[in-house]
Amino acid sequence: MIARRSSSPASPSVSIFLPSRPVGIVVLLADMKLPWLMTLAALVITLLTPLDGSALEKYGRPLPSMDGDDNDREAEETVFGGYFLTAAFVSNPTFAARPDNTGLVGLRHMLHLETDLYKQYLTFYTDQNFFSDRTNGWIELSEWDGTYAFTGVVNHFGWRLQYERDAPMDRSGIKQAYADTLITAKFQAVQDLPGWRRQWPNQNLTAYAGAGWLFHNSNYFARPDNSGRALFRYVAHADLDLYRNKVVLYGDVNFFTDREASNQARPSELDWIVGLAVRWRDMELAFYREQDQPLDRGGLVQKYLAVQLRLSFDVSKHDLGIRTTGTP
Amino acid sequence: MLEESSPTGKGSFSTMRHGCWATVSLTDEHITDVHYRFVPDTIDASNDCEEIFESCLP
Repeated sequence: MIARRSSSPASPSVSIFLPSRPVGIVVLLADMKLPWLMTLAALVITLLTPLDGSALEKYGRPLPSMDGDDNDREAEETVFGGYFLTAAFVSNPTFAARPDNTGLVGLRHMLHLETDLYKQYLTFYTDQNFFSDRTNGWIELSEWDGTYAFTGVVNHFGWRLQYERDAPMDRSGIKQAYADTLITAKFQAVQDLPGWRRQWPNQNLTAYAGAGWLFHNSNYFARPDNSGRALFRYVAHADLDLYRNKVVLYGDVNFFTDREASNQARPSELDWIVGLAVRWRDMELAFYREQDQPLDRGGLVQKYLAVQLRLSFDVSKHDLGIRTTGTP
Repeated sequence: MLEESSPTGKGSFSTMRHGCWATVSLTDEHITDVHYRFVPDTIDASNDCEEIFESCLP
């Protein structure tokens, strides 16, 4: 825990929270996981601040960048964040373990890293996905999918520019790669529906939907049986927060179209996922089902049932020992 | 981060990173006001605000 007393006058952004005649503020930068920290904070204020009133500021987690020049706040802004996940495909009759559709996935491991380059408007992220083949001992990795993307949000709209390359690891074979753009619109019930919070104070519904264009495609197929070549994608996702973001039911659909088909806008593949996630602090346990199926003809349907553990993390400037400049 | 980026298919989808500042006003060792501020202010981060004080409950 780090407790700091600012020697500067209260900034306009926080002075409205101070009682009358404020001459200073105390900013507490701590992981408020223990109730005694509140008591300690009050004690620090009492000892260090000869005031009849003060204010504490507390962050819930390292935050995205924000306006203002408060050094203590800036120190707690995230430099990068992400998560690690590992999943066991407890039932997998057909979900392939390599881009050439050989093998069956046993385990999935993934590292997601992202950093804000300019507030919420420009973010870079990467996903490194690894799969193992349950028909080859479960442990040895069989496929590596690397994704690199820029993304951002403006009001209710999101954009993405992404490159993905899927390659086998334990043998030679087909490599799939594409680059795409994607535009989505987002909905958040607690914010966009008046009266939602009054009706359901501990629940929320967030969703997005959009369309994308695979403007570069090297062997990224348009169906699960590796036929055709994908051109457009249509996506939709919904998170139904059942209880205070601790229990979340989610669903995801992803359509692809075939650039070799007579109608390039008609979906040729549907990938859908439905899952239930339970979150506790920085951990999430999820059970989900995915099925990838052709839509315009018969063919291979890839599906599985998985259990997945995710561990998230945030690294702030303070964590890295990066000092912020400005008023001491 | 768990609610901001979701694994989908063989990749993931990232949404807006967000959080909450809570300003606690004290007078004579008594809390007289608590004010929440969403970051960025275009997203409702109420759940993050409440979570700040969740562990303080007996």
